Order: sequence, then structure tokens, then C-alpha cells
Amino acid sequence: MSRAIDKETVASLQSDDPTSVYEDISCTLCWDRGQLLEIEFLGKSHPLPPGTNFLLDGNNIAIPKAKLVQAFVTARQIFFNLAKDCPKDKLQVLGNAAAVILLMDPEHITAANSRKKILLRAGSLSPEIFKAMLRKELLFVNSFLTARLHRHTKSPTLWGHRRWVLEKCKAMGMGYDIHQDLHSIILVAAERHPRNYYAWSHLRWVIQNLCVGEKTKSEISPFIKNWCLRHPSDTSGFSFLLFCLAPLKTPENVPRSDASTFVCEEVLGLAVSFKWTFESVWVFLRTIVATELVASSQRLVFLEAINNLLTTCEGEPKARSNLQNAMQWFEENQQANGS
Amino acid sequence: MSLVSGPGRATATALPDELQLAIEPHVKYIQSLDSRKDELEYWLTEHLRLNGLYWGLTALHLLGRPDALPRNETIKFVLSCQHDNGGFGAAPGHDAHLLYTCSAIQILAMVDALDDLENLGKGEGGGRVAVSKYIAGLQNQETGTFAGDEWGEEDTRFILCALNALSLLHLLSVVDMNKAVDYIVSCANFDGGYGVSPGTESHSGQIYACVGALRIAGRLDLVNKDKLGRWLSERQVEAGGLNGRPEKLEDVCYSWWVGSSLAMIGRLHWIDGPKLAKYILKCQDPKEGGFADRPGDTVDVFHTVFSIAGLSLLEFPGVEDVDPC
Repeated sequence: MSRAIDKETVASLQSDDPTSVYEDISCTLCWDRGQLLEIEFLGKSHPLPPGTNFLLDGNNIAIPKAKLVQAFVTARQIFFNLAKDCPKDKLQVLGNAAAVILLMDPEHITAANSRKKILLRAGSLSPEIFKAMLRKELLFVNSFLTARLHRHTKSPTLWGHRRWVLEKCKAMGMGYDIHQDLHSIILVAAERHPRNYYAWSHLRWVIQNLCVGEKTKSEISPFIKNWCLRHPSDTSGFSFLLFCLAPLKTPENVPRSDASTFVCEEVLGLAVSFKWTFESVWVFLRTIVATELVASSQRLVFLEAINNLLTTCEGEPKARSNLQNAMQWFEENQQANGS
Repeated sequence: MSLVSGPGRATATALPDELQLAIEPHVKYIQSLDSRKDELEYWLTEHLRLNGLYWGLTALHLLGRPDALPRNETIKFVLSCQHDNGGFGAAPGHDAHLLYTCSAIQILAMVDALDDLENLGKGEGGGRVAVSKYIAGLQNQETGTFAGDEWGEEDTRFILCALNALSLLHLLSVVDMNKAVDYIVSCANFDGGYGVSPGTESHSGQIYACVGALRIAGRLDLVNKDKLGRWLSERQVEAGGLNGRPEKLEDVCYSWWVGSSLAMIGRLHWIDGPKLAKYILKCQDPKEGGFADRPGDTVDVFHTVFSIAGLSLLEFPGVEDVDPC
């Protein structure tokens, strides 16, 4: 989580005109392309020719970290000059400065909030303008959340900002497509930042607030299962899979044991075939097998699989402890199972 | 005070038997952070400033050097972060949020300056009352959880921020404790852990927040201590450090989030304490001071305070006692 800036970067900052670096970067970052921007940072090992502040290829943008730092210094000054009581004709300027600040550090709450305030001021103009701006804001935050940027993809501030924008979209009667969102934004962020806590909790929120909860969970659980099988060391994916398979806690709902049993069978089968000893897989399996969600026959399969795999990982202490923990945990926590 | 990283690097080659806590270098490191006012990093970390000040001050207190940062300047800075609504931002000009409000109150309490808050604080009713009103206004009246600020993001972390600050102000009565407690209970997962909201993934940081809040509310009886203890004890990896969730890399700050959660539920002995202490010490830079997330990485004040706090929980010599929450 280090925010360290090295000496060479600091030294290189002396050479350029910070204002023009800022103008360049903020302009390209905030330009209305109507599509996602693919953002990455360039390190010291990728120096650009003098006067070049970023590389752009279609919607792919690569910004040297050193240049972004320079742009940030200017952005910060502009931002705090305008933030309090921003005049109407400077709102775009304020928003652009906030964008550069957030690119530098996604946890800058004040910058994120300013973009919300700008949107609300637009909202007071006309519903159509508001909707158009909400769409743009969604593209903006989606670009940051799907970028190849380690901190942005998991940022609670950015995911929270996205949630706020989606709430406003819902209030304006704008449509929401869970499948599109899942595949092009949320699962991309989940893949680019493994065990992405806030991406997956955002997905839970989306399902509970923008979709028809139970129906949506059923629809997406095959995609989630397949994603988990391609990312067997991702505990967040598996945790979400459990969430998908578990019914809402209402008396009328019958536990979906067929779907859960099927998934459990498949994961257990693959675990044995591929000799998976990933902790994420076995935490998932021990949990699901211990609940009432799966047929009791799975319990025996589970225990046999563990014993089977234990014989294949003699010299691997971590693998062994994952398996043994799974067995012990299951034995301590298994619920009464009628089926 | 700036939340600054570097220039120290944690040693990856220290011999286990000779690991010592390098107290003076750590004190000097924390003191030096404030002197880098003109440097770039001061601006880069401005949005965390109040947290950074809390982390640095706490670390100094734990190292037995509570006077190592100037008291009056500290108080002046904290009060300059307060808004008219009673809440505090990370730095002057930054928006108010529970995260920084909590740090503000913790700092003022630590330097015994709550009277200064009474005399000079902003907001309706002034002093403690104004801050408590700001906090109470962020509670979701229906569910009992807390938003971080006016924009509505809810997270169990914010429940702890709220209750922590209010308990230091002796004003817990302004919020609905029962509802907050019920909400936390609804966040308990089948694996014994807690997440950011009901039904979300268990996470050591969120667990710390939920357990800490229940402790303040006097309701640790509602925690399944064996189940949670089990989940937390599985956070210890071969190298001795702790991670936050299954299969994540260990990070020294979890020495605190996991360690104090275990301490609060009376199960700290479920992890290998000496092994953890050795790991923590490998994360320090014994020459320049400070701790990093892992041996060999760049130090920062966040990892410094939680390393020292972790050592305190483990009753490491030279470190003051810490309250788990």
C-alpha cells in the first residue's frame, strides 16, 4: 500500500513545465470518447521523448508515473482554488482536476465527492442533461475500476462512487443490464485485482438493489462458477459463488439443493482430477458441504477426496494443512442435513 | 504531519535470534515525517493526514515517547480540520468523513485536549455535542449501520469509527446502540467472520471493526468466539505473519487487525505469538526506522503503528500496553 515516490522521479519533475503536463493529461483523460479508456502507468524503464506526456493508441492510454505526479501537483492547486463555491463556468475545470487527482490516488474522498456535487448541479438543469452526465460518469469510473492499476481496481472510494452513480441512474428510471455489467466491468476488475473485496461486495449490492435478487443469482451463477474454476485461488470469487447458491433467508424459499449439489460435485470432481489443494477451493468446499444446501451424499465424497489428496501431497505442509483444516472444520460445523 | 513513505527499507536479512525492536530509530522516523512539509509526498498524502497523525502519535505512545510530537501544534492542526457540521476532514479543506472524525477524537483524547475541543470546536452546540450530532446523523435509522459521510456509503468499519469516537466523548447515548448491535449480528457469516454488510465475504479488517464495536457496546457475548477464533487463527502463514483472508499475502498490519480481534475474544493464544513477533521485527528498518508491510519493502507510518501495536499485544518488551480496541 506504499505511496512512495522514488528519488529519480522527484528529480525528473524539475525539468518540465507542470501546467502543460497537466493540461495535456487532463484533456486526454477527460475527453468524451463514449467508451472505456484502458489506462496504465509507465515506469522509469519506459522513458518518453521530451515533450511527450503520454502515449495514446485508440482508447489505450499509458501515462508515465512521473508525469502524473507533475500533473497532480497542478491539479491539486486548481482543485482547491475552485472547490469551495465553484462558479458554473468552471465546473468542468474542477471536474477535470478531480479526475487527475483520483488517477493519482483513488482514495481521495474530497475529489470523488466534488464529482458528485458537479453531477447534482447538472441534475438541477434538466433530466436529460443529468442522465447524459450520469452515463459519462459511469464510463469514467468504470475506466478507473477496470484499468491495469493495482490500487484503482479495488478502491472502496471508487466502488462507492460507482454505487452512488448507479443509485442516481435508478432514480432517473435508467435501465440496468446485469450481464453487461458483470462481464465488462465487475469480472474484469475482479480478474485484474485478485481477491477483489470491494468489486465482489459491489456485485452483491447490485444484485440486491438493481436486480430481481433470486432470479438474477440463478442466472449468473453458472458464469460465476466458471469464473471460479478458472481462478481457483480466488477466495472472493468462491465466497460470492456461495452467496449466489444460498437462498435469501425467507420462510417461503426452499433451499436450492439441486444447483448447489451440482456445483459442489463439479468443484470436488475437478479438485480431485487436478489435485487442487488451494485454500480458497477447500474453504469453499468445507463451507458448502457443511450447510444444508447440498445433498448429504456429497459429504462422503468430500471426505474421500480429502483423504485421496492427502496421499499426493506428502511434502507440502501448506497443502496438507488446507486439506486437514477443511476436514476438521467440516466435522465441527456440519449442520443437520435432511436430504 | 505528513503520512510519508520511505526512505527506509525493511531488512530481509536479520538473524532471528538477534532481532531487537529499534525504538530510537522508529521515534526519529515518525518525528521526521512532519519535517518534510515542502516535499512532494506531503501533498500526495494530504487526504490521509489526520489518519497519519493518529498513526504516528499512537506509535510514539506505544514506544513510551508520548511527548515526541509537539502537543500544541497537534491540537491546532486537528481543530483546523473541523467543519461547521462538527465533522472532521483529513486536512484543512478536505471533506468531513467518519474516518477522519474518529482519528481527530482519538488524537485529542490521547493528548488530553478534549477541553480544547469544548472551547474551540465548531458546530451546533460546540465541543463534544457538535461532534456527537455529526456522528449520530450518519446512523441509518432503519438498519442501525453507519454511512461514512453525507454521500451514504455504508460499511461496518464506520460503525466502529462512530462508536469509538462517541465512547471517547462519553456520548454513546446519542446513537441507537441496540440497532447497531443487531446490524453487526446480521453480518455474522457461517464461517464465523464478518463482512462489510450482511452476507458479504469475511475479512479481517471488517472483523476487527465488528468485534471492536461489539466490545464497546458490551456485547461480545454475541460473538461465536470459537468459530471466529478458528477463522482468525488460519490467517497465520508459514513465515509467521498474518494475512487478511484465505490465500492472501501476509501483511504486517494484520498483526493488529487479526491479533486484536483474537485478543478481544480471548483467543490470542490460538496463533504462534513468538513466530509472529519475529516476523514483525523482520519488517522493520532498524537503521532509518519505520516498518513495511513485508520484509524488504518501503516503510510507512501506517505499517509502523500496526506493527508496534501487534508487538504490544504480544507483550513484547519495550512496548506499552495497548487496548485491543
